[in-house]
Amino acid sequence: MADSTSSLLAPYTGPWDERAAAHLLNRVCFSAPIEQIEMLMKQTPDQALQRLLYYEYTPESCPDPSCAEPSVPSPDAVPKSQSNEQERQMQRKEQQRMEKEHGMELQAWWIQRMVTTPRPLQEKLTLFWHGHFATSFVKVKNAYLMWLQNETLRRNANGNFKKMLLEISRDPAMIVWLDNNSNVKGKPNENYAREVMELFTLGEGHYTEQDIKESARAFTGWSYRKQGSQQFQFQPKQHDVGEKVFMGKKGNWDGDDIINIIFEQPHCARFIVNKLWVYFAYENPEPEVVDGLAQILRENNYDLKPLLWKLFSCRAFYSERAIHAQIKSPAQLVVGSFQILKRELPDDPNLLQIILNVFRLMGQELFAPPDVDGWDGGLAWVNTASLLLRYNFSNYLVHGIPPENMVGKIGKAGKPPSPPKGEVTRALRRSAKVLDVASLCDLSRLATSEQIVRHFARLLWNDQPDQENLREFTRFLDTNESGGTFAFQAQNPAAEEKIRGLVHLMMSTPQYQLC
Amino acid sequence: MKEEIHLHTRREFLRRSIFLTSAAWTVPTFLNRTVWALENSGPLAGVKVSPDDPILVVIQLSGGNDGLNTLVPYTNDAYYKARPMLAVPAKDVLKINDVLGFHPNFARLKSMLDSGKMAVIQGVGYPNPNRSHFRSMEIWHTASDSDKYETSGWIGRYFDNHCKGCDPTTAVNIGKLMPQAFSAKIPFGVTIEDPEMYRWINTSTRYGDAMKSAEAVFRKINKASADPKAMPQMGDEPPQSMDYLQRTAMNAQLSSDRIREVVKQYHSNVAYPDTGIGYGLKLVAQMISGKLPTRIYYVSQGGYDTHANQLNDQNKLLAELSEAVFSFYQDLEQQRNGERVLSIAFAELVRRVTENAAKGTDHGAAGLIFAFGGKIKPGIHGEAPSLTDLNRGDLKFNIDFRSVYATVLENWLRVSSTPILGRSFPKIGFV
Repeated sequence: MADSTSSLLAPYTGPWDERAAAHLLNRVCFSAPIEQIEMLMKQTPDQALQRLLYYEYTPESCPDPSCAEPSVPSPDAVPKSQSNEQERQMQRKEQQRMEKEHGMELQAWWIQRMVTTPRPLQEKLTLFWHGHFATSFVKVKNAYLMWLQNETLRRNANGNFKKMLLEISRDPAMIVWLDNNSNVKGKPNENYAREVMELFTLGEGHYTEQDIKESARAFTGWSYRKQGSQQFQFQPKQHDVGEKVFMGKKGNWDGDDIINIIFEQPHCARFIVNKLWVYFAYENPEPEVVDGLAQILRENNYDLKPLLWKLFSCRAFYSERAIHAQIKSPAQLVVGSFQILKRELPDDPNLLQIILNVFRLMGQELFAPPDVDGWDGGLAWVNTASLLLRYNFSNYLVHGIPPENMVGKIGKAGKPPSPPKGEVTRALRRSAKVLDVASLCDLSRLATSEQIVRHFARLLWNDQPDQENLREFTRFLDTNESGGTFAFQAQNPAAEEKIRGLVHLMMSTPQYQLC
Repeated sequence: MKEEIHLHTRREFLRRSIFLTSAAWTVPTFLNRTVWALENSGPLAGVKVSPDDPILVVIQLSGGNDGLNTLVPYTNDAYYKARPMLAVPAKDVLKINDVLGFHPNFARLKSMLDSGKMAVIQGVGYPNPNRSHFRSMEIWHTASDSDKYETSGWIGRYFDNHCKGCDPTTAVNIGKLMPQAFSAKIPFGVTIEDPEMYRWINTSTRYGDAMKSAEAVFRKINKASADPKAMPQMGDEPPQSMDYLQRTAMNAQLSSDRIREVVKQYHSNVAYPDTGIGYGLKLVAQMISGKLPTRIYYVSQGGYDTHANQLNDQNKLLAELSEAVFSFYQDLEQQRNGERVLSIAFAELVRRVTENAAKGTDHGAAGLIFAFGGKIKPGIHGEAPSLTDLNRGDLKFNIDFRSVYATVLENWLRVSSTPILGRSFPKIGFV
């Protein structure tokens, strides 16, 4: 027993085959396209991981979004030039509208980056940290600050966890999000101090209410400039310089001291390691896995690379508990589908709006997590409504025509999008681009319907169909509407439409929701 | 196997023919019962649910409503002292008695209280309160003690104990995410936000109806697991991803046609406010009018976590809640369902007595639950907690929230609450 558990973190020495390579790609990236799998299999697992994890060495050029400059005046500053209250109100409304538009642009910018990046792990880790330090545009209402935070998460994504938290504690979006701008001497606001321990580093039960009260005092005066650069600003007059007792240590602590003390707690490494493992491998990891990885993280002073290396190369990561057992997040599903099907993100603003709606309706609106706890993930991604929505998104990707209710600007919280103008829908129908079957398979080389089904199962599921699915899918390909035999011929447009039907069906399955 | 297909087809036929022949959607009860009975004799054999059973609607005020500014102790100096910026002025309060009154935006609900259709339970909380947002939410959803961790929800355990094999529409959640309260050993209930999207859509129209066969294949591959006997047994462990997905796919299939049909049949001249909670309650009214076998509906209204600048936010939310619930019961009464439907509105978290420097309130320990319906015992229940005798700055609770759950389970849903809540809790006389 001791042998088998202690070997969970031993290097994986099993076969470096299609199944293993696809698994690594699925977890490190957003999908496992066949060409990539084949490329990985030509390398050793270490070579493959080296390239994926040390992504700094892969050149990347991604233009900044238009909100990468602070807007003037900043959206939360009340304009003082007008004396008329009504005019001021109107100006505020107009600013909010503009800000919302910037926010949507920012979402689209990130999705595009996820689809096209040559550094997939960088984006996947940034998404992890976004869910961890979950901050929402809904309250921050400032696209520039949201972008700034996103860049901070990306810059530190595979760097050092402690450095990341030190920077996040000075991050203006976080300061607004958890009210630290109103955390002042004499009237401390505990919001940030509480979440630093409960959600960011230790988890419930590893600190006291007293620790929260004392550390809130240490973070007093950590604010940001509302005008101009909109950067972090320490306000000494608002800072409580009195003595604090935090986790049994007495001193005139400030925020950095608090973070230093937190990172001395042995539980801190376990907490974040557990969360990373759940994100990349599977839920409820064995204690041996968490303890072993936590030790690596502590030994390396919270540098993430050695930990991630071990995570992606150990036996447990390649075990049956992990492979094909994770429910895809909406980002994994949407971004991965674009990649596998070789489709490009649309330019048309109406179509782009559909992609943003899909993220929101599936429950993972970027830059707008439901609360500071981020997304629950796992089974919580799927319920009857979101499962049908996932299926119907596949329909859009395959047939090019979005269902009416995915179109148009989304309605009030809790409400589906208002029905689109008929004109928009008609235009979308006219410009619909169907899936290019020829880019996914060479029909002249797939002789039988069974070969076609097996090819697409490999492409879409990274797996083979069971007997029942194989039977149903081949029958679907072989039967025409009158019940007779459908004859497959390459270059037959009807055959291509049949295959589109097959792809849509294979994506409308529980199997496609897993990776 | 063959026999089951035959049975299934027969049920389908019966159900479809009912949909077709019932022009005004007034299905004779006995006939409707027959359908459910037939359905229950097949793969879903188990408890029978009838469309005349009492219904519970749970409204979650997400984020934690500030109770003191909702039910205002307008004669209490301690209240005005603790809230120099946020207190509701006594002159604005909708007076209920000599000491308590509603927030001015509760005008519609005040009229419901006056006409005997609303009850307020005050001082609701639990021992050793946890101020963490997420932990407190978990405690309210799982009905666990604050030092114990439970994964299944209280409604989920109601399913596990009393609804084995029931139709999945026995519980319907409106929204994007299933609440933890629904978590059960066997995934149960449906989540729906938009009935129009609640189906498998296939827009391959290019070659006439050449794709119709796709629909048949879709149903087959997503229903292949429709026989629970063929599904892997689920134990105390959380279900495996694949089992969970197959179960959810089946539940979606079983509920999709029916819910969409029911919503189409709905007619009402009651106007609902154009808000999220208005939309949600309207959808519930539609499903109730369609005689779905649903026993529990779940609706949420978000945004109550008012740590800063509480006044505007809470004012707006309370007005939205008040308007929506009022319309909902108007609608139900026109359907003659007002007495069949009990609604409870709870906040998973409550707020502290003293306001903070950001014109907001932080997490506290005891609060309010509202109940609505034609058959409740109206008025204020429970004692108001003292504003001066506090526990770490928080109100002291005097009613355990699980007493409210127990009351609802025993007196309304008519099941034993002990297996669901772990032990017996005293009941409150609001229903």
